[in-house]
Amino acid sequence: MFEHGGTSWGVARAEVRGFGAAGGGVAVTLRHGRVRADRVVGMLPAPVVARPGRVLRRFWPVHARGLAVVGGRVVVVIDPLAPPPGLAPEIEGGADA
Amino acid sequence: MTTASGEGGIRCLLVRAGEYRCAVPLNQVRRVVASLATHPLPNAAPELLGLAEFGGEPLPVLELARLVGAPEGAASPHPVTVVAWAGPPRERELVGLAADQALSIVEVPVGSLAGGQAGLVSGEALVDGAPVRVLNLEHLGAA
Repeated sequence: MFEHGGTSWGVARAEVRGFGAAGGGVAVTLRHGRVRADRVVGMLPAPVVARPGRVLRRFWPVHARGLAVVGGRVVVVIDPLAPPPGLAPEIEGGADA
Repeated sequence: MTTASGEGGIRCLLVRAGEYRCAVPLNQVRRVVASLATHPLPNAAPELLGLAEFGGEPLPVLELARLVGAPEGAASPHPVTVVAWAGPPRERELVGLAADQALSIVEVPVGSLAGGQAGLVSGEALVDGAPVRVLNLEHLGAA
């Protein structure tokens, strides 16, 4: 789980290859690409993930695996093969952890 | 529209959204709570404030004033989130509607509805001599 832009994001643990500093944030390296984060929160037990509803999909037409609530926080679980454009890394670089 | 109608009227929650007053049918209202904290989503439509947590579940929260095209009104000291059912009855889902103020419960006479539409605003009516936009959230999730 990581944070970016005031929102909490999650990606399946098996997809994460590492993370490291990049610019002022963190680059999270996935099996098939990278996403950017402001902060890595940590690894969490597998939450219950619900599919985004019709209303959310209408007003946020971005593909995501689903939504979960972890410790009172809403987490958007991304599809590692198609992460939201808002998580695309702007700065290349960052060493894998 | 499915109504919470009594003697020819629709019982509604009256809220202020910007400079508009909007009536949400009571049978579409789950709860009214103090404004929920939201977490924004990148590339979202301007109407979507973000996601909130309600009852242990994720809740998309929409800005009601933007949904109905209301001009910006005076800032409210007591903004609320109306947790409501949206979508057709068999596929309904909970959404949050951020409003400036919860005003009262009113009965909107069905016969007084004017400008009937098949969208989110099903029509306008006069309540206490002032115009009110009557909502039908069954259309909220429609494309």
